[in-house]
This record gives sequence, structure tokens and C-alpha cells, in this order.
Amino acid sequence: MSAPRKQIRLAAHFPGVNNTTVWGDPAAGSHIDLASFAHLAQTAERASFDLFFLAEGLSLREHAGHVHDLDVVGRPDAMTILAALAAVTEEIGLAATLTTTYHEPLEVARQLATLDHLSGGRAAWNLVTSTDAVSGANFRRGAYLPYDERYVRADELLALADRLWAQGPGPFHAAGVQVDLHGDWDLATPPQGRPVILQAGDSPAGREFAAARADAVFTGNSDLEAGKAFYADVKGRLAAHGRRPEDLLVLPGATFVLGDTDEDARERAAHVQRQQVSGPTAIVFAEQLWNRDLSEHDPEGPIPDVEPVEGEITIAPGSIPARAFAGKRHATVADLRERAAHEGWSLRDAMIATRSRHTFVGSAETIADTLDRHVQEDACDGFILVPHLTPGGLDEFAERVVPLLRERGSLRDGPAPGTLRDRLGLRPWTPSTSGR
Amino acid sequence: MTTPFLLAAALPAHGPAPDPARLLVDARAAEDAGLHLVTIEAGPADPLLVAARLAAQTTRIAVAPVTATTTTEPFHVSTALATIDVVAAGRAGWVLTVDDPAEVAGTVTWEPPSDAAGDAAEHLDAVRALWDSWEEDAVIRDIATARFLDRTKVHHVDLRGEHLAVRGPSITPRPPQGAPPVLVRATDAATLALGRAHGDALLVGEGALAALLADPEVPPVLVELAVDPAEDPARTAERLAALRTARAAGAVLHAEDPARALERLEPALRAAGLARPADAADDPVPTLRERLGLGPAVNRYAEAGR
Repeated sequence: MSAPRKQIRLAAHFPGVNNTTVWGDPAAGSHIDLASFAHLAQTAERASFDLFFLAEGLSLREHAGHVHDLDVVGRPDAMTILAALAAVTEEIGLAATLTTTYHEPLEVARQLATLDHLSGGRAAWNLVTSTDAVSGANFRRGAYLPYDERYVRADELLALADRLWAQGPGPFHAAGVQVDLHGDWDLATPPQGRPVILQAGDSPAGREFAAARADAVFTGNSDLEAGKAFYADVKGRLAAHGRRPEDLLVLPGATFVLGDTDEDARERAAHVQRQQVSGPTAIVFAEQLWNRDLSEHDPEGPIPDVEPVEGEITIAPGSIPARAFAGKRHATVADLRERAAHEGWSLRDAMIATRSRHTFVGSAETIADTLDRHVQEDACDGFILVPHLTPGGLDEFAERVVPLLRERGSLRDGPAPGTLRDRLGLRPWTPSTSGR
Repeated sequence: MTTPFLLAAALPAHGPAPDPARLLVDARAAEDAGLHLVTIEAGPADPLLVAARLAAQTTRIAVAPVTATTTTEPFHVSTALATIDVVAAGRAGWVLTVDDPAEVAGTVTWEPPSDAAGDAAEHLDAVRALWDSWEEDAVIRDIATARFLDRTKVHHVDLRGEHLAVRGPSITPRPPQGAPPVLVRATDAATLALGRAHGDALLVGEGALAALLADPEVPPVLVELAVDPAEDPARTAERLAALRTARAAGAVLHAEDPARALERLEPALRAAGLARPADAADDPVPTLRERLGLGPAVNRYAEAGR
């Protein structure tokens, strides 16, 4: 008799405020109304997804000195909209990203415990820290934390939240370097004991933090071989913290485009990519790479013949892609020119080819096969799927891929009892299982 | 002109473990009894989140969480209230309270300002400025130019006060009401002055009413009233009717068990014309601004640009 089949854990990421989200399609709806959030969360719930996931951004993106105007922008407060969703869903986990840099420790502990109570044990927190001074200017303390101190604050904040959730009502005192607080805590221990904690980040420090403290890690490693290496690495770190391999789930983020056949899916993916990278968006991408104004260039024309500018990032300060090219702008542009000459690419074609890739493209059968293979071969425990349309971006996946995964026995069919922690196969959290 | 009397019920937290079923029973009792507003009182649960959940489960009654300025970030309060207003389709409000800085020392990672009322005035201005930071028609979805947003209609607020600074713009578009009403709970001279100067409405004890109404410039005044479960409901309705006659804009009923108290009170409230009549289902639901007799919210940036 074979071992029971490994179960795929699925999370639905509400489409984000970036060019992956297509707003110009006739099927694209509101990114603000409760109905859009409810549609996506309820679709995911019916399709046996375990989590509904919201990102966070505490300032609007800026480019060339202005608010970036080409992508979907604006979102509700994540915890508040999740509290509303708790009323219109029954089983799916409700996950919000909250930065420890710009939220207060007691506010984070109170909001997550409240959501856990209001949802019957379905709250989850994607713990991140923030780098950008632009967001800091929106808060009382301003842009105040250098890199190392951000992690000290994150560490101390989580330690305090863990303590308050476990202890329930009573006095507390946390004498940390960044988090030095005291008072009387008044909230009962949440139904899950501890809300499910996700940690995003692939750096060695991030992996170690996840291994010690998190219930799931949200990674960018969606490739099969890179995923296996990442999976082995983080699962291997758990024993040192007194934890079992199944105590930490590995969930890569992934996009997908479905078609009737693999060929049809490739054609649809090419169409979606052109929606995701309009001419003006191609210019913005190029400016992040060149670090100079290219607004006079035709996106449908050749690769600009001007040279990139190293040094201070002037056109897109705060942009992660603009930072990622630092130090290799000349080499990247030279490589781009060579490939464009070979492929006959316009600037926009080149930006599509290098900046807009879908993780999984294929028929329902192909995608079900691929997802299942990644999970069964230990490249991951499941996926955080990012649809490109709001609110119907998961509809086809739920109708066509989910039944195939259920047939294979890789995805549960029907309701699952208990809290989110129970459904994810995570042990009740106690200080000894977290390594602390 | 007179605005209709606004009748509210305060929903208490009921103990250390927030119970969504019980909270809903209270909110539905208030809605079914024809009240116009529930306030979500401070307690173990975060009132902003409780308000959001109840907003999704009610259709007619307005929902106003009680949130203090002293220990919160205006940016987070602004986006949370805008979100509740979206969920409630224009039925959201904010009961603004001010903490005693000595009592909240050690609960936040900044120094609570000793001038808590001054901090509250700046906090409130920042919350409203952030609501204004997106003009109503900022989202254009213009396929021809590939622009989702008209960036000339999204503004930095650049507030630099004595107590706090906020750059903006908000991450959340302008809420349906433009500016959800801010009901300032006056508990001392400083908060009373704050509410008179900056509130859309004032919440006061019964004793403060007469002096306030002598001033023609005062915002709508709602009186907070403890409901004694032993009192004859007809007598409670008489007390409320007297407040209406005295030109109070409304009242907030405080009871330990709101659902039970409202069940007892409902017939007397309806008989006195204090509660909303059972509406036809297709009536448009008034916003909380409309219920308080406030005009449409003016956007400081939209006006400045015209």
C-alpha cells in the first residue's frame, strides 16, 4: 500500500497594483468593491483553496516624479476588507500582508487576534518589513529604521504578539530594543492559538527566520529544479529549531494562463502579455533599466541607441526593478540589443520577453500535471496563484483544473473541518514548536 | 430646518473573546428596531474590524467604530474607515475619542503627545486630507492612453503639524461619502472644544446639552443615554422625545445587553416616532451624512484646482 498522496495547498492572491493585473480587458472589474473580493474569495473557497491572500503597499508607486498612472492603483485596507469577507465566507483562510515597520506591535496583535475570532480561526499574516522612505513619510515616526533594526523590530514584534496570543488577558511587559512596551492585554487567546504566519523572502536571513518562526514561506522559486533546492534547504533548517519538515509549508507565487490546448494557451498568454505591457509601460520598464528619460522613444521602434546611466537612481527612486539593475545596466542593455537584433524585437517586444513571464501556460491537463508534479516531487507544498483579472481571474481554473486535481486525489473535495491551522496540517502552535 | 432625530445604539464588546454571532444579534436588533446607527465601542476586539464585518451583514443601519487618535496612525485609520464606507455603501462614521496620554504610555512605540487634544485635531485633519487626496473621478481606465489613473487628481497632502506629519496620498480611493461623518465623543473641556471646532457631530452627556444648543454654530449634538433595564419603555421614549424637543440631533443608547433592551423598547420607540418606520425594501438607503443632515462633502483639493 502506497503512502497517502501529498495534498496541494492553494492560495488565491488578489490581483495586485502592478502591470500583471490587466485592467483594460472588458472582463476587468472593480479592485475596491467588496463584491470583487467576495467573488474571488468565494470562488477560491469552492475550489478547496486554503487561503485568500492580500498584499500591502503603504504609498502609491512613483515614476519620473509623478504618481505612476499606467497600472491598477488603490486598494482597501487589507485587515478591514478581510473582516468583511469573514462574514461572506466560511472556510477559507484570510491572509493579510502587514509590515512590522509601519504597524504598531499591539495593533498587529489585536487586529490578527480579532480577525481570528471574527472568522472562527481563519486569520493568517504575511509578515514583511519595509525599506522605503516614501511610505515612512506617511507615519508618525517617519522613515526611521535602517536595515538591521528593521529585523530587530520584526523579531521583537512577533515575539510580543506570540506571547500575548498565548497568554490571553493579563499584564505584559516586553523590554526589547525596538519594542519596549507594557500594559494590560485584554483579548482572549485566538481560536487558532496563533494565527498562521507566512514569511516572504528568499534571502538566507529570511529562510532562517521562516524556519524558526513561520508556518509557511512565500517564495519566488516556482521553477521545478530551483524549487527542489529551496525546498530541501528550508526544510533542512527546521530540525535545528525542534520542528518537523511538515511544520513549514513552502508556497511559491505563480501566474498562469489556461487554454483549450497548449497551443491555444500560448496564444492567449501572448495576448495577455501585450495587455500587461502597453507601449507606455514598455517605456517605463526601459527607463527603470536605462535609468534615464526615454519618453521620446517609440515603444514599437528599435531598442534605444542611447547608453544607460549608472549611479544614483533618478527616474524611478524606490522602484525595486530599477534597483535590481544597478551595476549591470550596460551589460543588460548590450545583451538586450543582441537578442533584439537576432529575434527582430521592437522595444516593447523586448520588454515583454524579459519582464513579463507567466509561470504556467497550458491546457487544464498540462497545468494540473505540472502543479501536481511540483508538489509530489517536493519542489513545494502548493502555490499562491496570482490571477491577472479581477474578479473572475480564478473562475476558469476552478472549473477546469481543480476537478482534475481532485480526481488525482491531490486536492480535497468538499468541506474540511477545524481551523485554518488544522486544514493546513499544522500542529497547534506552542512555543516549543516554533523554536522559541 | 430640522433634521430627523438620529437614534443610535452603542454595541459593547461583551468580554475578552469577540463573538461574531452575538455582535450580529445586537446589530440586527438595532436595525430591526428602526435605529439609524450603531457605535462599535472600544473593547478587546478592534472596533474597525468589527464594524467592517457588521457593515457586510447589515443593509440599512449606519456603523461607526470608536477609535482613539492618541495611539493610532491617521494613515491606517483613514484607509480603514474608507474601506468600511465602501463595504457599507456610505453608511460608515467614526466615533473619535482621545486617550489620556498617561494611561496609554508604554503601549505604542512613539511618545504619546502630552497635548492629546492638539494631536487629535491634527490626526483628524490628516484623516480627512487623505480622504480628499483622491478626487472622486481619479480612476479613468483610459484605454487610448493606457492610463488607469488621472494623476492630476491624486494629491500629496504634505501635512506638517506640531505633533505629526503625513505626506500622502492615500492608498485607498475616496470613500463613497467623500468624508464619513466624524462624531467626536466629548468627555472633558478639551474634547468638547475639539468637537465644536472640528467634529461633524458631538456626543455628550445629558447635562451638557442646554449650554451647547445656546450656540447657533454648534454641530449636531447627540446625547449619550444609559438605558436602565428596569425603566418603563414608555418613560425612556418620553425622555428621548424630550431631547428631540430640546433640539438634540439624536441620542446614543447604552445598554449592557443591547439586543434585549431594544426588543423591549421597540414598540415605544415606534409609537413615539423616534425609530425609522419599516421602510419599503426598494427605498434608497440614506448615507450617514444624509441622516445627520450634513451636505455633500467638499474636497479641499478639487475645489483648489477649479
